[in-house]
Amino acid sequence: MLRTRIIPCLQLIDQALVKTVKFVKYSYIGDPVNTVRIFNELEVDELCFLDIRATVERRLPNLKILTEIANECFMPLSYGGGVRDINVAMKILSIGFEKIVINSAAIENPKLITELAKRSGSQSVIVSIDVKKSLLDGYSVFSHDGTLNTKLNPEEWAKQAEEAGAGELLITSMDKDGTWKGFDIDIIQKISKKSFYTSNCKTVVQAQ
Amino acid sequence: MGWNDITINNHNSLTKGFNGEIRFYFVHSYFVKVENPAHSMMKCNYGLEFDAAVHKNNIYGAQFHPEKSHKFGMQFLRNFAAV
Repeated sequence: MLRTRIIPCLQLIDQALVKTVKFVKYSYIGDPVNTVRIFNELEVDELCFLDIRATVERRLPNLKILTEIANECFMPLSYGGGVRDINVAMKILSIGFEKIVINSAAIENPKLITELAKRSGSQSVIVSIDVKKSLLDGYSVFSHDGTLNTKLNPEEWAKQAEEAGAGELLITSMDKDGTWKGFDIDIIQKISKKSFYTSNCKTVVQAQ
Repeated sequence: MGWNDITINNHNSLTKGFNGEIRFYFVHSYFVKVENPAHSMMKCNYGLEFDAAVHKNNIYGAQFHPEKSHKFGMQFLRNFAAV
């Protein structure tokens, strides 16, 4: 049967690889193409690249660096950041990425999930959900690199994204991001109870 | 979709150098069913057992993606190039 996958999630700001802590502190850690070589050696199951500032800085995905990454990589790849329409998504798939990660654009226009799933299959559509806990209101979904509180309920949004055609979900806890304190098991359980037990949608979780 | 273990059930020049645990990356919804078991090269189980790679005369086919399957894929492609 299928193995559990370990998927390092690498954050880019344009061409630079960065490490983040709770979505606010960025530190430069190196060149993404060299990092791909290291992960080739380590034989990780997949790699996920996210340009975390593309949407906020109104940039399109950097196709040049993505091509270099895809050419170097011997494992399945996903990319997210600044993918706002189907044409950009198809371009990224055509240079050798298997999956597209969408977050802010999916919240603004959930039909994008369905369109992309129709064009290239659900297996290539990952909806990324950034969640943050507040003492009074519980969990809420944030977009635009954690700068915009959408007030969406993570469980409801996950379910909606899945029904729209998402093949995988990437759940990121903004409170745990970069802290080395492990996963936010609570929110994973809440979301998985509501969505992925009922379908093929896989939940992917992140904490660094 | 994902990584899955395979077993070799008919050895040929493409299965050279594979020992122990062998895994490949799959991204598909459909599978091929061979009529003649002799044409099945590798098997995989995804809820049901299916033929993950096939071989007949000079025709080789694989369900998985060797170009995304690390050293296993490299070995498979190297074997193919040497045929």
